[in-house]
Amino acid sequence: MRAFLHLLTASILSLLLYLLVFGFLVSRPMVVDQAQEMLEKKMAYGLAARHPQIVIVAGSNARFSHSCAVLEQLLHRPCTNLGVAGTIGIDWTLDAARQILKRGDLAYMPVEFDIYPHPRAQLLTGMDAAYRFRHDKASLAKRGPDGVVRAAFMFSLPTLVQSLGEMALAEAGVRRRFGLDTLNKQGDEIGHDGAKANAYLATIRSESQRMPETETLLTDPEAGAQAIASFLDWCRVHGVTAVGGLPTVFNDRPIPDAPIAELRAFYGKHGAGFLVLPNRSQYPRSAFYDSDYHLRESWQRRHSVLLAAHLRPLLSHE
Amino acid sequence: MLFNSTIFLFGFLPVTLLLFFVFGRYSVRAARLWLAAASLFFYAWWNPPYLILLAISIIFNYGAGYLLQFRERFTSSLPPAKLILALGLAFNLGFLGYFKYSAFLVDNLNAVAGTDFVLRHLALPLAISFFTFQKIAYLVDSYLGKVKEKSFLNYVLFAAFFPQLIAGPIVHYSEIFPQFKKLETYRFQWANFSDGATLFLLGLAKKVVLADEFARYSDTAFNAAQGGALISLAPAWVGALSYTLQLYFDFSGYSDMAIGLARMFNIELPLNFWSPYKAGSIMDFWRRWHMTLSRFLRDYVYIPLGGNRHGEARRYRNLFLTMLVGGVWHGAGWTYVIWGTLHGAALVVNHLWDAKIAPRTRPLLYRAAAHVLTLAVVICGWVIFRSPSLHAARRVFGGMAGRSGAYLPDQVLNAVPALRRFFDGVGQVPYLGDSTVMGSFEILIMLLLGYGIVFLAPNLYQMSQRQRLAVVAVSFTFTFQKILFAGSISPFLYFQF
Repeated sequence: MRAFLHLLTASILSLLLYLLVFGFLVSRPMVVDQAQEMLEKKMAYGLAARHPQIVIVAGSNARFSHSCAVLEQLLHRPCTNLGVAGTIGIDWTLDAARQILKRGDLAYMPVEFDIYPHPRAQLLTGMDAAYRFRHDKASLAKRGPDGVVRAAFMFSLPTLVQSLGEMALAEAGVRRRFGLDTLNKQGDEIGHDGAKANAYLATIRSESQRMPETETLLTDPEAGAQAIASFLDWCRVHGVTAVGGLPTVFNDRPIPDAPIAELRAFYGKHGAGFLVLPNRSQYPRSAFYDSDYHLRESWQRRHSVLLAAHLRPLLSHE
Repeated sequence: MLFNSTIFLFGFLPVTLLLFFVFGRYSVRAARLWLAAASLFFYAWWNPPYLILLAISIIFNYGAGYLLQFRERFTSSLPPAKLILALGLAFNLGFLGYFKYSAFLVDNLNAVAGTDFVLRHLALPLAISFFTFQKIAYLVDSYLGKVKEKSFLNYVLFAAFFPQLIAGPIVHYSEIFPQFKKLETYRFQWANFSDGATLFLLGLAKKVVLADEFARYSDTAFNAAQGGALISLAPAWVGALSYTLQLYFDFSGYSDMAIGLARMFNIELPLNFWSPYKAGSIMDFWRRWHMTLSRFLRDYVYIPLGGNRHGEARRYRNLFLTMLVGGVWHGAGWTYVIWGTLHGAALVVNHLWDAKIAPRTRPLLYRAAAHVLTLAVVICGWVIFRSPSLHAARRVFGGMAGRSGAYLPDQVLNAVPALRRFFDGVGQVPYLGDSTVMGSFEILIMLLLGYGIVFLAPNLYQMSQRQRLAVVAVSFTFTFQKILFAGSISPFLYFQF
């Protein structure tokens, strides 16, 4: 009996240690905390800018492949690029967008194909959950018991390794290849071209072309699509024009009509439009930086010029 | 049913344990019946129709064993014992051969003879290699007079006892059933329960906290190689080194869990691993790796082949053939044949070296070199063993030799310029750590941790209870995080055998 009590004690101690370490001691300054800093910088710009404005809402596709600086210049209204990363949890970005958007604004959403089917469990354990569990426990409580428990137990042994590594690297002054200093004031990623991009040529060559799959894109009622649907409904109620779009991908093969029709119907059902550019946002591999959702800066600007021409008719008049 | 599934952990195991000891208070026979039935249910959970195959195997081997053990009762009407044994072995090997090797043989026949035979795809019955070997041992022991068992129920319990049914340890009747015959086995004992639960938790941690993480790294390289991709130096070595750790933590973790589960039922199973990567030679390695398989191969293959009784040349031939059988036992494919051949050849060379060349005194440097060489042979063996095809193995070996280039992320080379002598810089290294710098860093630290554990830490059976509890305190929550919150559980590698 005593031996069993010792085992029980060790198990309880393990639980307490785990919560102490991940809730109070370690963090991921170079990935998770940086995502929060990026979002804060973008929000600060959006909140300070005048209205009506344009807000681009997606994961890293927004940040790398879309240029709010170009849209501002061509459409003569403020534009905030809220894209950070697909893995942060789309609802984190959507929550931020809700705080910025006002009646008459336009939300353009070139959401990555793989975000729509993100299961609910994945949404509750995105980077935002890790950030909230470590730094902002009060906001986590709003997600209910399921959200709190899932966030509390999302950390594995590799997470601990990454955390300790990032803390050590941050302490040593090591910087990632992108961060606050590679964002312009609107929140666009900049400088990802030329030699910096050429280092990834082999990666771009070896990647397979991503295609939306109608079997999985919008089938899970509790997946990422649900969070997007709620956001679209919110836009409709608050007089915000929401427009879906296609993320940038390789042009090896054209994106088929079926998933586009499916996405258009989804956005339409929630009172939003869906914009398909003549090139379906597809570009040659040489236009990409380090992945198929990330255009090089020169192509990011070209894509944004094309986009601006198609967004212009959708803008409300001041 | 998997040991790391929630249905097993929170349903099957507590109910089976509880009722075993409740029945055991009143009737040993009822407790045995319950445990046998629960074990068959455990097996059937995977694929109920295949329970029929296990049942046929059990009934046949019980019958054959009975005839061998109690021949005197049938003297006038029975064929000679040797013939009964031969028929029994033929049945078991035929059974295994039909399900495990027929497709391989037909494929090769078609390739060589240009024929076009088509064989209906057969799902490999779970654990067929393990339970077949165990039954062969039972028949041979019956023939040699080492076993006397009349009761069908007792035999079923021995053959189906769930902790060791799927992937061993491969046990002899004579080391298990005498324990079931003791009355105290049916009385709940806190000490055994706690000890068993501790071993089980630590084995589970090896599987889900370590093996499954290393699986992510190794799968990336081997799957890419199978898909035809060229693997550069770093990802190829990461794949090979990770699989070496994955297989050890997966299989030894399973064995620890099996031993722990059995101990909860007051049954001692034999050890299956003893820090194998600390081995200083291939001979030593096979004394430490999958020890119950090595024992089986020695007792039922090597010795019947003649062992070391007919001169050196025959001895080396027997050694080589034994390892070849060991290789083929693992699977029907040329990779397993080559893996068995490699280890057979390595064992022969090792014996020859020890007999003819090795110095009597072995300084530290010699021993260190022996460790490195042993590990190199083992790792190369695992590359072949893990590869889905010979093409994939060739690509991984090519990568390990640097034939597809040597690359590291630019940022790593900027931080450690000395590495530029060996590596070219790229933005992302394909098939390495999610192609991110932090992913590569994670792999490096995890590999250091993994090899630190296998080289420097005592194994679970060398640890004091206090040390084991300390490891539980570190690993318990990570273990349950993986089981309850990580989304999916993965089967044990040796389930496929």
